[in-house]
Amino acid sequence: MPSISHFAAMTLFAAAASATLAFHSRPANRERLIYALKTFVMFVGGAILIAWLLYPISR
Amino acid sequence: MTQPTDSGSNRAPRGSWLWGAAAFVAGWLVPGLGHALLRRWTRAGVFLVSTVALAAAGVWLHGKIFDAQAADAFEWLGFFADLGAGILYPAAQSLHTVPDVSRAAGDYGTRFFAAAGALNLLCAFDAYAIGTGRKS
Repeated sequence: MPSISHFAAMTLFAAAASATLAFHSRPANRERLIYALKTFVMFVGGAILIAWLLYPISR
Repeated sequence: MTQPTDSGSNRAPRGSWLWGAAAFVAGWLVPGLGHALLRRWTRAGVFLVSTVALAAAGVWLHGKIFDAQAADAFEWLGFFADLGAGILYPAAQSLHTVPDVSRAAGDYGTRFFAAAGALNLLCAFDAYAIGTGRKS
């Protein structure tokens, strides 16, 4: 059975979703790039932050 | 000042309900096709790659592809989300992969395919808005 790490799965989803949302939301290419990068960082960074916040109660 | 949008200078005639509806249906059935009809080549390519990548990952990870025999509201929600993937939905079903949501990877696969459907629906609505002239 194929397998994938949680981080890889999260990165794939964040990349696809942020690229799509950037092309929906911004008209110019430079704005799209900035928006996509921001969204990607928020997706991945937010998940890592929440993971660390939940870490103490996971043990 | 008008900002440059996608590559390609010749724009399809738009501003009618018919163009919007045609772009919506085309974009829903084949990811990116609605924008391709409207000659938004870059958007079409990005939407095609994003949707197909998520859907392919969903199938590869043996995610559950919901069908119309839903048992509860969540399964109906999953079915409608999966249906949003257009032609990728019957394609995924025809592969007859055995879903394995007992492992995390299978669960990711289920979410990936549903996300592909939801994103594709969003793209189809975007194509409709461009086709009707509400959006550039």
